[in-house]
Amino acid sequence: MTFLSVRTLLYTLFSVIFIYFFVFCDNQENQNDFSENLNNSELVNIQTQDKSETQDESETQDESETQDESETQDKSETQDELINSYPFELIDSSGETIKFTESPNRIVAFDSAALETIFELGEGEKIVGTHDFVAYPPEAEKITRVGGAFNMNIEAIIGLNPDLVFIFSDQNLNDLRNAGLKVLYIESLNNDFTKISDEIKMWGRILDAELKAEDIIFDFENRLKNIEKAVENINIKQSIFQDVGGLWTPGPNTLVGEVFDLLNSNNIAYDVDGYVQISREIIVDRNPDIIITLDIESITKDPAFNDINAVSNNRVYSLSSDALSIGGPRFIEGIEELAQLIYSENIDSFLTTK
Amino acid sequence: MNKQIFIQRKKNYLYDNFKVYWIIFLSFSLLLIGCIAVCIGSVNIPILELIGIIYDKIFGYHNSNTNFDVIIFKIRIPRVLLAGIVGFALAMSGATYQGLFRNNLADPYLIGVASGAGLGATIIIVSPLPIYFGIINVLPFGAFLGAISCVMLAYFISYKSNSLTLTTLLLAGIAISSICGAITALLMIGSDPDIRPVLSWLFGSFTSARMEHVILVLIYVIPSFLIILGFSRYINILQLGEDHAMLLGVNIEYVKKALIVSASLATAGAVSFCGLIGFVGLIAPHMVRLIWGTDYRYLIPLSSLVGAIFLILADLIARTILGSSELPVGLVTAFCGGPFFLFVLRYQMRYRFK
Amino acid sequence: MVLQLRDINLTYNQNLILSNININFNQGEIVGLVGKNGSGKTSMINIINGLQKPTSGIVSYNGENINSMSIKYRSKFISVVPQKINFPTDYKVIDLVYMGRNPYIDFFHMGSNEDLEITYDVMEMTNIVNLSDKLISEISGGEIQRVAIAMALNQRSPILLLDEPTSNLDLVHQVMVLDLVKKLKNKYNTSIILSIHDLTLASKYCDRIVMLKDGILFAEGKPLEIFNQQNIEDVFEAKVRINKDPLDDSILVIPEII
Repeated sequence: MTFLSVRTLLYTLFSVIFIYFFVFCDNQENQNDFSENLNNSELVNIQTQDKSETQDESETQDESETQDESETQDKSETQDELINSYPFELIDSSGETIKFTESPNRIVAFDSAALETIFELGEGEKIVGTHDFVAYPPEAEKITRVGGAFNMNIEAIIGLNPDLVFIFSDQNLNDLRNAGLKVLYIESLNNDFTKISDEIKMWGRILDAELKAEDIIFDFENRLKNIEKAVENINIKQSIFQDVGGLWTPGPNTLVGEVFDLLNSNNIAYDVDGYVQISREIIVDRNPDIIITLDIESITKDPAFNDINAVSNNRVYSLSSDALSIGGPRFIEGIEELAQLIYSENIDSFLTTK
Repeated sequence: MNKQIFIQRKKNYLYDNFKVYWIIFLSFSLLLIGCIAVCIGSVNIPILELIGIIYDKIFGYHNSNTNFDVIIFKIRIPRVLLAGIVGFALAMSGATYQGLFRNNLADPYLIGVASGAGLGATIIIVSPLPIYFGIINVLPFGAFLGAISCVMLAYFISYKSNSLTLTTLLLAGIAISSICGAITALLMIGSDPDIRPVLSWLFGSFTSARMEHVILVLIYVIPSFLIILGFSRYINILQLGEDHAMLLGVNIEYVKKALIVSASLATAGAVSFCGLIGFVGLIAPHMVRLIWGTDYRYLIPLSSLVGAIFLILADLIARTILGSSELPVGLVTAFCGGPFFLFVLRYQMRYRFK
Repeated sequence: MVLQLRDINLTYNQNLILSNININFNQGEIVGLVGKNGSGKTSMINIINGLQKPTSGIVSYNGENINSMSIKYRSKFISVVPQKINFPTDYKVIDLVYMGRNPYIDFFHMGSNEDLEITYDVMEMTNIVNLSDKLISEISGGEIQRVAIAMALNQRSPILLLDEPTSNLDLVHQVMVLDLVKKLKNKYNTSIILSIHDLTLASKYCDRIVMLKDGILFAEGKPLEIFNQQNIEDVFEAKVRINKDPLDDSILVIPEII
């Protein structure tokens, strides 16, 4: 009896500690991201290498690239168009060099953003497997599911016989590599949504669809510029609060937080790091003009929120899609929807609707 | 020793003045700590303004600053009250289970309350049904139903030929707990990857405390407390063993049923609105036992008060330590309660207070 | 004739523990149950106090079946000092002795002055008044036995059952406990049923002896009549010599060393 209870105690303690880290891993990742920003840009920029170039030289080249990014980016773009051929090499988030000698034909895309990008590039039929929670695009319905982030079914992945496995977290990286698979591991974006275009470019390079990728990036950046233009003359900043469930909200250094900055609105969670559960007192005190939530009634029916601007002006909205939670090509649609919710008809003329 | 002196002394002892004074003292400290907890929060309200708001509220004046008004009356006061009542209920049922099972390591979640409530809540969160049914949040009711059905199942399994075997009840509770835990994990794995709401529920949180919750929990806690207090003398006698208690005229079947039902009801009621808060139900009775001794007539009210004070303080830390964001209160109870408990265990305070 | 056992049979897992027991106990007598270990003494005590229901037969107190009484009501008539008591170590002596008043205290009550007076009397009688503030973990085995007896006496019942009250005690404490029992009988006219292994002590203190052998009532009667060599050798299957105490004519049982 005593033994059982002691075990229960220990079990509780361990699970508390485990889940604590699990819940707050986002924060830690974000902090890392800041330091790895340089690194990240290095990863996503495609490294074209002549066979004569040695590894050391490429590293020194990387350093120079980060120092004046714009120049080298232009250079690499022109190089891409000129060379446009295999083989080429990529350095992924684990520091591994991945060599591509031809366009992969059987891809396991273990990431919603990557999957959407590949479909957008028109290469969707090359995906043979993905994770359990993919909901978009509809064509992805038929793709074999190989588990979730915490229960990846490695045997099933091997059984699909892929020639490229793309993952966004390094949880199963070594297992997959040990199984002899070619694994590309790029950490999923937690901030700086302008990097989405870099990822699209990377996929265009890998799948030999660079022209298509350029189109998508052009469209993405064009629409982004339109929105920037639309909001730059707006002087009154509206405060905004996004509830992603249970009053968890994105801070400034997240993808969504940056979108709020772009849209010239004040995120009421300006003093937090990553995703946190914000206190109700703070919401009442900072009095958001707009609330974005999953479940509108959970806000409007809360007696404490009766008097805040968003509720009394009927400006509690929920987004129509999950576009803002996935850093893929569809992200711009999410930004546009948000812009429309904030500025309503004032902004319509600036938006390029499809 | 003279008979009259003996009787007078023992009378004082039986109506233990010393401990009665402690109960009064703790009640006042509970009140004081509650008031302090209302004054402190992530939004800083100056103390003079706070007194002014309360003064205005009592005498019916309308205050101009509605924000502070809402924060105090619709967020902080319900929250502090709920934390106090939940701490009270958990410590009370922890003490009851410890007495009933004659095991100092028993806690209020022993016979499947926690895992049942967890399963109920997870089913509600995972299912496609909305969490808000009209204006009523169905999550607490799911949790309550889960908790009660698990306890009932354990109860009927161990109820055999008109008597309740406590050892079987304990073992059945553990088995049912692990089954429910497994189902909960299964549901979580198979559901949307964003399980932060479930997690913050599993760790306990008073974020969404409202006055209605306070009243609903009180409906369970007050009758349970009265029943348990009335039976506390029988818990003392039960310490001699069931057979001996029966020889002393205690109808143990009746006592066991009443105690299990009321302790489980109080726990389920508490758990359903704020999630699983560990350690309170274990630590509070233990501390009281080490300081004031085992007599359950005093142990139960004293540990209930200590539990209430402890949880109000833990919640105060949970909602203020991270500035504008919140920490699950279960983490605070584990991190503060664990080491403090070890300290108390090391320096058996009992001898100082006697 | 306070307590009657009529046609008591007890089987447990198809083993016959007690068979066809018929005994009457009278007001104000001390009855000693003797027999080998496993002969059914404890089972009989448990049947009398209602913890164990007999397979067949009736135990009646003043014509009332004790198994149909409520637990609280029954505990006003029958009190027991069990063979093994697991006292919780964290309680004071006074707390435990006061627990004996439980049948007389109502739900939500603490007990009256009268309960305290009775408790004092009982503690004085068992000579533990000076221990009243000590914890159970601080007192000796003989004192614990006296606490257990005080607890049973506090029930103020007309019948007191003692299951091997003298085992694990030294000679002085054995005599002290049995003197107490005798005092009780003289003072309150209580009927006392005790199981005991020491036949010499049994013959000195008991008014009547009941001999059990393998669940059967082997012999019953005054100690002088039934403590003869034949009976004792049959029941205990051991060689003994019987002597008479020259002072009070009680029986001395001396084991033969082979």
